[in-house]
Amino acid sequence: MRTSLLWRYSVLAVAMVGLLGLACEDNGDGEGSGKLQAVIDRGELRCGVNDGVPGFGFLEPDGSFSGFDVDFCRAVAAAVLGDAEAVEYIPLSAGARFDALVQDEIDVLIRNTTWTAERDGAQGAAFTLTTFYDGQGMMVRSESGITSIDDMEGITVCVLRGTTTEGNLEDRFALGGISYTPLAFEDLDTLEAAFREERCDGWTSDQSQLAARRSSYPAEAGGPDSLTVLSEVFSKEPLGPAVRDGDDEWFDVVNWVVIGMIQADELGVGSDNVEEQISEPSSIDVARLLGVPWEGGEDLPDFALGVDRTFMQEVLRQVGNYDEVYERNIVPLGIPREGTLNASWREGGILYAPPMR
Amino acid sequence: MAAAARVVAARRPWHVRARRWARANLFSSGWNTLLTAVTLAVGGYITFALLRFVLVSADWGVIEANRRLIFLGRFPQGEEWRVWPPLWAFLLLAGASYGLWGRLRPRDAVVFVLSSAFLYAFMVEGANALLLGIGLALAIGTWAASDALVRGSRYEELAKRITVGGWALLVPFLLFMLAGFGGVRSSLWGGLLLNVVVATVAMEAALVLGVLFALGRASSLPLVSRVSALYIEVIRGAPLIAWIFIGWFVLPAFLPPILGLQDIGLVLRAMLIFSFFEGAYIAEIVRGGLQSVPRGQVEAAHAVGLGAVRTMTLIVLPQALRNVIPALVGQLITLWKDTSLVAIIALTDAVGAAQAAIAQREFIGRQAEVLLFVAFLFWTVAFVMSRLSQQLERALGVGQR
Repeated sequence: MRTSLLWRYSVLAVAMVGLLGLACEDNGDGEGSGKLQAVIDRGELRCGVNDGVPGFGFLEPDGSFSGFDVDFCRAVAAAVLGDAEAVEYIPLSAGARFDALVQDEIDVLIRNTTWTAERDGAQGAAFTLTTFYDGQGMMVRSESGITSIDDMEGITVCVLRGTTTEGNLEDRFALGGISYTPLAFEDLDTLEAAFREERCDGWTSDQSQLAARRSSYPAEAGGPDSLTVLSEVFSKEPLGPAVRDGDDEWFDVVNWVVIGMIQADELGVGSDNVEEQISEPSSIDVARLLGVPWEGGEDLPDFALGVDRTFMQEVLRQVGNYDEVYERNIVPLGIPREGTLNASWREGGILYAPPMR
Repeated sequence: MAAAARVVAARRPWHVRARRWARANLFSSGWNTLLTAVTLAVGGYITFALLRFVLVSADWGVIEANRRLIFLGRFPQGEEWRVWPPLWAFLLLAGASYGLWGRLRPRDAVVFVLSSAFLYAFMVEGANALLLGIGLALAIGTWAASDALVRGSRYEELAKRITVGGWALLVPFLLFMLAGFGGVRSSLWGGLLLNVVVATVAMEAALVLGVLFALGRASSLPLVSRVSALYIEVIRGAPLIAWIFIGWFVLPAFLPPILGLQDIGLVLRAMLIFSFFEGAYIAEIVRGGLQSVPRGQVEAAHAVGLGAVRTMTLIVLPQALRNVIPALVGQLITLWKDTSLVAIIALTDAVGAAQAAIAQREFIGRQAEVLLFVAFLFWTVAFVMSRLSQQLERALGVGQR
């Protein structure tokens, strides 16, 4: 029959197109190995970011990206390409970020992403050293006199519906044997409205988000000073950059840029004094960080990280050290560095850089 | 004058007429009175709440600070001039078309004046005010010239042909202005500009695809008609958002690794997806149009000796397309609003830019203001499209055969 013959030819044609597609895919996979070289060849870093989180990643009115996470994109670009502006920012939703990473649409994901076992394993991501230790906290009205969660017996708490936040809240109150009423909302704006109308006395979310909301709390509602963020943190949210599994060279580069920025903070090297420290390093550790000769004449080991031995020079010149990035982006939100987990290990925090030697 | 006065005098005073009208239309029964009261209460409350928000409680500072972001997204500083020539060309063509084919309706004039006043009061300042002024002057000038001088003269046909050609070249011109001679790469196109670019390219491509596949489906060749039907059914079988994700994550893997095709930009991928998706819907609309053309038309065309191709292009298609203008425009307006879905594939369109603006520290929580403003922008464009289609229908005499 004529039609059945046609049918067979169509099936054959579709199969051939499919095979061709598969063959092409195999060819294309060659570039997957050697992400570092791919970025250098492209002359640009594709960085997956957030465009809607105050302080971490957002768009300025002039259309440029800004924020804590964005500065780490710039740092990686400075280290690899020598130019902190050689970044193509790719704003990603929470749902699409790991697909974009695994499908190679981005080189690195720096989008206030919590490091968890499932993401490290099943989702195919590899997390570098944490850049920001966030955690769930509680905000109350200052006049309520509440100073700790154990004071909150019988209280109503506003929370976002269907997030891990809701579960963490339940766990924390069950732990203390405290009774409370949760009031769940779909988005932060309706939640804030309810809080303002005093329909709840506590407001729980990630501490960085609470601080950002607090700093913009309108004056007619009492202003930021009318709110207090309790110091207790009852969940772990370590946020940091992630790359795709399976490219150790690239992972090392991103990881050591982060470590280098924390190390530079520990050593007191920043954008303001990097030039002096290059010409005359104040210690052998600074010389090792910057890749410059030390007067003792000791030969510096080559890290063999795939980037120039002097990669931290450009990072510090163009972006600055960890503390500068923090001061620029997080402090304006109303979260000082002292006394938080993000302080240096020397000052009671847990930010600790493995030695660069 | 005297006649008019007599007519007025013969009528009852306005308040009597108003009372009668109200009694007949609003309070004719207990049920109607209740309905009227409820409608008035609900409508009044909504109007009051909206006005109070817009005029009193809203803080429009977020829009003022982020106008550029919402209109242009991440378009580089110093390259904004590229947007103006295509906008001028659009206004010029719109003015000419209005003068040549349309008729100035009071409502359209009011909308034009109001939106110009709005733009000048809140949206443009400095050099942009001058540049917009040039565009508006072009629109009014070409409208007046073509309405008063060209229409009815022996140059009318020529002017119409030039205008149609201009419309055909407008989208290529827009793309050339944005990307040509050391232009801005597409990943930095953003804001409302991105919606416009994706929508216009996809509209043109989808119309072409739609007509081709509609003809294909109606074809008597089994392979052609089956392939067309398969395309239409497959595309329509999955939601747009799924196709957008496929365009993002799957499409590059299927492109051959030649000519740098695998590095295809996100904007181009969005254009492709929207074109093929809307093409399937438009194909079905056009097929409906083809079926509405009586069989006698084809037979008459054959009888006067026209071949298959000329029968289709000269006789059937013009009538078919004319019959489905309302459905086509409805589909295009849907496409226009759907372009805001590009925000999910890492592009910053007007909606994405508005959402991003409220992450700026001083504007946290200003969601209602930005969303209302962006909704207003989308509505304005959709309204203009709807008005243009009504003018087109009138010019082509739909329903007046």
